[in-house]
Amino acid sequence: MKDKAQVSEKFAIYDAELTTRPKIVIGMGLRGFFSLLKLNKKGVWNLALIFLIYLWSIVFFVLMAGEGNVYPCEEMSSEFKYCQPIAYYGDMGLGGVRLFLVTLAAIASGGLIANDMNDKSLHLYLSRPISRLDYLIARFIPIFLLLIFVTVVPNMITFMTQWSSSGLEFDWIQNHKWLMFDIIVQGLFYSASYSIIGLTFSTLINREYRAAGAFFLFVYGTNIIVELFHLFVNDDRVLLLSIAHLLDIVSFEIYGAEYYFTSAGVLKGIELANLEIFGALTLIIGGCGLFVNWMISQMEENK
Amino acid sequence: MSEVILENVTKNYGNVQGISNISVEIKPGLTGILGPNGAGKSTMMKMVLGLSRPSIGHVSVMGNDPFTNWKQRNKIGFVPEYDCFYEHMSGLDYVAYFLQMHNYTLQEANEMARVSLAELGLEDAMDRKIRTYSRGMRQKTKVARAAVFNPDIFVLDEPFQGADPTTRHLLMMKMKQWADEGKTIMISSHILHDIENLTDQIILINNGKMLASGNRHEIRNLMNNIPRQIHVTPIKNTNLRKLAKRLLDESWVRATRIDKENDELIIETDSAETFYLELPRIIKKEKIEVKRINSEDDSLDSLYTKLVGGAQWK
Amino acid sequence: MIEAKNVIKKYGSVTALDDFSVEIPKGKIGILGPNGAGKSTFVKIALGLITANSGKVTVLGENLDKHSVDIRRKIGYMPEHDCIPNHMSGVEFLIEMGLVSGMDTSSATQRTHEILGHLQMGEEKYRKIEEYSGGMRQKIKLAQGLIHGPDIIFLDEPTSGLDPKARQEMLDTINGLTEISNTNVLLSTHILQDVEMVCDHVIIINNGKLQMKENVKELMKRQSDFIQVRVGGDIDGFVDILKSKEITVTTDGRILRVPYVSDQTFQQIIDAAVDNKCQLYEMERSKVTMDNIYLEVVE
Repeated sequence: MKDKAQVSEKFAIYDAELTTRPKIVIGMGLRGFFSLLKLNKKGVWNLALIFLIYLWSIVFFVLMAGEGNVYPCEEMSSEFKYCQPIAYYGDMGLGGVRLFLVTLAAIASGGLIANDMNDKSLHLYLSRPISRLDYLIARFIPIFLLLIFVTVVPNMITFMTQWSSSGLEFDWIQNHKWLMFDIIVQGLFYSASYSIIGLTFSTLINREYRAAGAFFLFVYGTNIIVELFHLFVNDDRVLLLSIAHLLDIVSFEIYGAEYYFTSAGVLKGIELANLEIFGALTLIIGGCGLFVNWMISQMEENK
Repeated sequence: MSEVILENVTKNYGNVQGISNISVEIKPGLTGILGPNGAGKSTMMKMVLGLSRPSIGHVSVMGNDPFTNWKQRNKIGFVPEYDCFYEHMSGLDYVAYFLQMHNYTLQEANEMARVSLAELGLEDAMDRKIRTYSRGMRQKTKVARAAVFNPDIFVLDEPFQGADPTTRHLLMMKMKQWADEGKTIMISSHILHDIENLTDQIILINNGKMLASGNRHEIRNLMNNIPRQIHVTPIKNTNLRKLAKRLLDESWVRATRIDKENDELIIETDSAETFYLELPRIIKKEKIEVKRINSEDDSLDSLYTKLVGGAQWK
Repeated sequence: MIEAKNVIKKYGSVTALDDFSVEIPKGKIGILGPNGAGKSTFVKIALGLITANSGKVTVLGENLDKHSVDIRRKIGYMPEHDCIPNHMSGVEFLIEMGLVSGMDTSSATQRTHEILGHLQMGEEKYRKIEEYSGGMRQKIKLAQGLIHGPDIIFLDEPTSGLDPKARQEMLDTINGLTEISNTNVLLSTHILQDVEMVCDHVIIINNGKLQMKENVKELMKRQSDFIQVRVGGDIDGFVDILKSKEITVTTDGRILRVPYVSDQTFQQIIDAAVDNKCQLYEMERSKVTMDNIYLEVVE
């Protein structure tokens, strides 16, 4: 039997002071972010990958930009020279970072919505004073912050190193302010895109590890298929079907640079209209967003 | 014939206890099997079904050992606690499928399944996929599948779980009907009220041991170490005190207490049988008109708390 | 407390709520109805999770069209199915739920421990939820609904799957916690005795319409025209004596039912018991139970 005398006054008059919705959402997001970095079974992998990405970036940065390095180069013209080792290092550096980035995005995002759907605690979150969109934002924040941590931050470090090696002149930053801006935009763009795709897989497959695996296979699988396909079709629009290529193309656009990629050991440039590129991007990211929203609304309706 | 007899049955799973030294005879009619989760109800049901064999002791169903005489299994209808459906089948296909496994032709099977499902009020739903069924409909389908073989013995594990009151009522009606037809029905439920509505015959298990079996009123009589509380309400509340005083003269009355709120007299007695026999005489002699004699503490609820809950009864 | 006016909700061609109107008073209210009658649709609309096709719903005086999200600050919800994460401890989970409701960390922690104390949970509150028993999981589910001190709590089948002792504890806990904190309760269940034990009012929904709204105490006072009698010893002799007084007794094998004419009938039964020298175990004007009322209304 419940002893009623035990129930104190305090309980009776409890009147919670509740904060505003944005604060709830940011709080949820930050807690999610820190729990990704916790030193537990899952968090260790995230931390290890972050460390690997930093290590990889630094090693290849040193290899490519180290002052004492002299590589055999071919003079292509008076202004442009092609150094085979540097090209390899560049490809390996970028390729490696992207591999780890996708892996990190996959394992970190896999559980965000999947775990809530799996143990059905999603229903409890949705019965709180936050809307469906609030919930999604709260689940987007952790993975987004984590990816910024490995995209914008290392790139900015490189940028700063360049600055310091150019003699700590303030002019250098002023002359390169658009470069700095582009670095930030590109980092945000990668982080946001991979976060959204990660959350989509987390919603689609409500088991954490399967979702992570599916995400990884999807990104690299489509990449390989599309590249093979491109060899036969020779239409550059095919490349837009691969997430990795699409995001790279857009990020080259951010820098205002011409996109080229290595296919079967040969450097290739592409020709695509802006409309095609951004159309494909909007379709994919928008589709993901709508899909996640729809899935969660289904959960809402079916209890 | 359709009796279930357990003799000193003990079942262990490795070093985990299932049930321990249970001896009971279950006669035709309805018998409620009660106990907390994990008490051994399901283990006991599995023994009767012949799905597992006792570690010690004997089980006999209709005179045979159910574990070796597996051919008589279609004489035992079983409703498991958990859902065990092929979700893509319709209710009709599902029931017919089990009939076909027992060598009925497709046509016979369909006919029998249709009748059995219709009896449980699934005429409209039987052609729909089981995936779309509500909890109540699922329970009814499970019962229909068990009943379609016209078994002599029913073993029903939580058949009312999740069913709405209408379904519950329908199932109870069916069970009472089967009991009247002389079938043996073992039924477990967590809702004591449902069992109370169905039957007085119970088996109470806790921690693998049988705490009590038989008619619940008789069980209460056997527990004479706990004094019985009986509520008596006179028609005129001015008679409360008179009756209380009069009853205190009797040696079998321990105490009387007046409950002003409900205008009733609560009498505590050590010898309930004498009380029930003597009270009408006293009432008649003293001309105290009474409109209610009731003892709430042989309700299933209070019996359960007394036996399972240990010292914590009201 | 909750008011619905001409609410219509359709899922495709299926009409879940059909011109549904109800005015739910404060207190503890039981919602009954068959599966698919529209109970859960109504609860979800009142929670602001889905919107009605037409009609107006006001909860605690606020129109749900505008405040469907903010209304949930004042509402707690305990879903039917198991929906608590296994990998957290009870305390961690409740604090998280408090934070998501908008409380700050310290008051969420204080409140969590306070509620868990009332739920009589000791050291096990620091253990992982996966180790909890069914009854404890159910208590945690109740606690998460009450954590932010809501004005109303919706309870969806709070006792399903619990054994009798755990069920009794759950009902006592619901009664204790909500009575003291003055929380209004909306209880949806299939177990009619839960409503008898917890609620002041009962509403019955069927086919998307309100079928009945009554005070539970008033309902329980209704009496039927039978006296139920249980005697020991020679039952046939007892029945015969009554028959000789032109009283026909019916029986369902366990209990005798004597038609009630006037208070005189009681005395006749007692006389018969004395004449027949049999024990009179039970004699009571049989009450209307929730089961009778429900079946009467729904069928």
